[in-house]
Amino acid sequence: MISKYSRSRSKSLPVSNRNKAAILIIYFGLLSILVKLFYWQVIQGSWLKTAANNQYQRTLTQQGKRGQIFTSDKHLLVGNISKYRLVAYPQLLTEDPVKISKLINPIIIDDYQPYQESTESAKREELMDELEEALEQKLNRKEAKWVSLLNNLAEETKSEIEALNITGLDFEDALVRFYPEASMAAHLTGFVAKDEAGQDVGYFGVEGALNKELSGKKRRITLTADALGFSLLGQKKPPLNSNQGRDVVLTIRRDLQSLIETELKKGMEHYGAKSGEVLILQPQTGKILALAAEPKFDQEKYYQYDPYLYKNPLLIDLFEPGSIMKTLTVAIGIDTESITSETECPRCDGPVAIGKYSIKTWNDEYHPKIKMSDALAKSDNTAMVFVAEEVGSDVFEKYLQNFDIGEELGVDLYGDSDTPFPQKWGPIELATRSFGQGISTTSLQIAKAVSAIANHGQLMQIRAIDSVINPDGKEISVEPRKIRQVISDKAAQQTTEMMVHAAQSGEAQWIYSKTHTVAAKTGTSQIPAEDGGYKENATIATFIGFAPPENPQFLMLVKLVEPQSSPWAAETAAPLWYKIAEKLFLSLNIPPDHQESIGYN
Amino acid sequence: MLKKQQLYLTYYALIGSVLVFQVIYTIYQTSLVVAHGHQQRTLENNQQQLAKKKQLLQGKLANKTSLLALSENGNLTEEYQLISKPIIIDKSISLAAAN
Repeated sequence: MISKYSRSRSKSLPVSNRNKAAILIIYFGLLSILVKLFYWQVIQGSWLKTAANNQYQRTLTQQGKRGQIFTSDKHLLVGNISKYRLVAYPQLLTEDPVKISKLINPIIIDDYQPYQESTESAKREELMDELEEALEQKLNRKEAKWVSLLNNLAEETKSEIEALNITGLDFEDALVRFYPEASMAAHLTGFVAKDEAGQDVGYFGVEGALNKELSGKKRRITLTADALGFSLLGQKKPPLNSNQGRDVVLTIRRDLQSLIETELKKGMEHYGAKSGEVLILQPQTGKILALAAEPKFDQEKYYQYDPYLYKNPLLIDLFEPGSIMKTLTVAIGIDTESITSETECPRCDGPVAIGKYSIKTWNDEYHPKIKMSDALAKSDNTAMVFVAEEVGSDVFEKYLQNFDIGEELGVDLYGDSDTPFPQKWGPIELATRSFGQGISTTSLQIAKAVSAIANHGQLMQIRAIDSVINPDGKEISVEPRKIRQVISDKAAQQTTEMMVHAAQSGEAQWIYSKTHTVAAKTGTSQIPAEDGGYKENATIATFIGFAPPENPQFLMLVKLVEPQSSPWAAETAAPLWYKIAEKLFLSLNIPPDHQESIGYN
Repeated sequence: MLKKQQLYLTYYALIGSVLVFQVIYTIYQTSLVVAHGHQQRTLENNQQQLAKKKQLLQGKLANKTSLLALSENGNLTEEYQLISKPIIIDKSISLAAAN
């Protein structure tokens, strides 16, 4: 007999096995899911993540525009312009290459550089045929996927070609530098060229010194994109212009810059000088109002010029300042109370003997008991030796260092650095340096030092930058900075009076301004020869001065190297200085303070 | 029995309407995202175009107002008289000056 219990057990057995089987299947299922999850998440995880990111993330690379350079009146001096490269996809062309080249040649020919530079009509026709033939050849290269037809096309040219609607032609754009004022202020701006990696880099001038600030930044933006690859809403993107380089506003005045460049060129031709420089400073602020040097280069076609022309000679070229140094010697003498303008020189009746050397005056004329004011006017070397000896070499050297002779200017121009300052200061060195020989300086250094005399004895930082404009439009002004008080206000005033006297009764008195009082000094220095000594019949003529003397609106330095018409500054640099100054009086609105008046009844 | 059926009907109708609402809301949200994204792209493109145009015009203005262009186009020697010696009137016979 089968009990109820035993019957039920025998019936429940298969059910239990099914359950177990089902549970096992579920376990296996879960296990396989776990294994698969492990496979996808751990083993293939990183690859899948990358694949997913690639699918919905998009990375953009943006190159910011290079900052522009303006003159102080915010006129564009160096800007950016879009230029286009015409490219073709020969395999996609639907029209005959001969027909295409005939169509586009008359449009692009004006942007073809050899054609632009050519003036002869026969040559121009030849170049036109040459370009047409080159276009045909390139368009016929059916094996090539892509060919470049012509670079540097203007916006208008691009529009004209686009209007032709030729299949298989396209444009690639790039920003290039352009110069609305042509080569104006080339030594100040510098230029932009490509580096080894093909990136735009600034060289020389402001472009070189502020390359980092001017350069546009390269930015990579990662965005979540939709199925079509467009970015999804709600993602913060940096403003479009935020990676743009900073704009720079220079201190130079466009009108003055143009004036001195024109006059310097004319002056050099007139006096037959090998090279020349003109610098205009504002003594109270240290601003460079204008700076010109000849010969110069064209920033746009810099590669056509000798590289030595790229350097700013006012910043780099060392020269013995000659007699313009006497203004500093006199200022030091007065500030140390070693002399006054009325002090008489006790040993100016003949050449001064120092060891085996004999110091003479420039014209071998001697003036016993000459007053210091007359000594500066007559540019008397022996009187300057007297002043320097009264001051003493240690103090004299210290003063020159305080005038920042040999020091880096701290101006934002490429190549600004310390220049050699003499170490040995024996009696003969002190004597010769008192009248500007045996010591070298740059035009900017000596102008900065003399501008301290014009500015009540305060030495100011020289500046070429007026302000910097951030990509968001915020303008950061560069404020004038006083370096130190080199000499007292009183000493500066007395030196200024002596410089006025020097301008009125010195060698350049013949050209003295008939309307404005000027404080100035000539300087004619010799040029050291490579084999020692000085070059024969070769001088550097300089004239430095400021006006009006009591509240100078400008300080100007004119330097002519090896003038041929006369070796003397009074006959070359001085007349050029007054010619420019006459126009500066009008431009800077400086009223006349005396005149040879013409009365009208 | 009928009451139970009605209860089921109400239940599924409620679930259905919630689902439909969710679907519509999702479509609406997505369309907003797409539309705004599209608008944003259009505006960005416009901004870029305008920036390019502005730059081009700035360049043209700078070229037109450059001293180089002014000196090439104008005849400065005829238009202006060089002042090498200013004329200063310091004597007058007018009644106002006499008083």
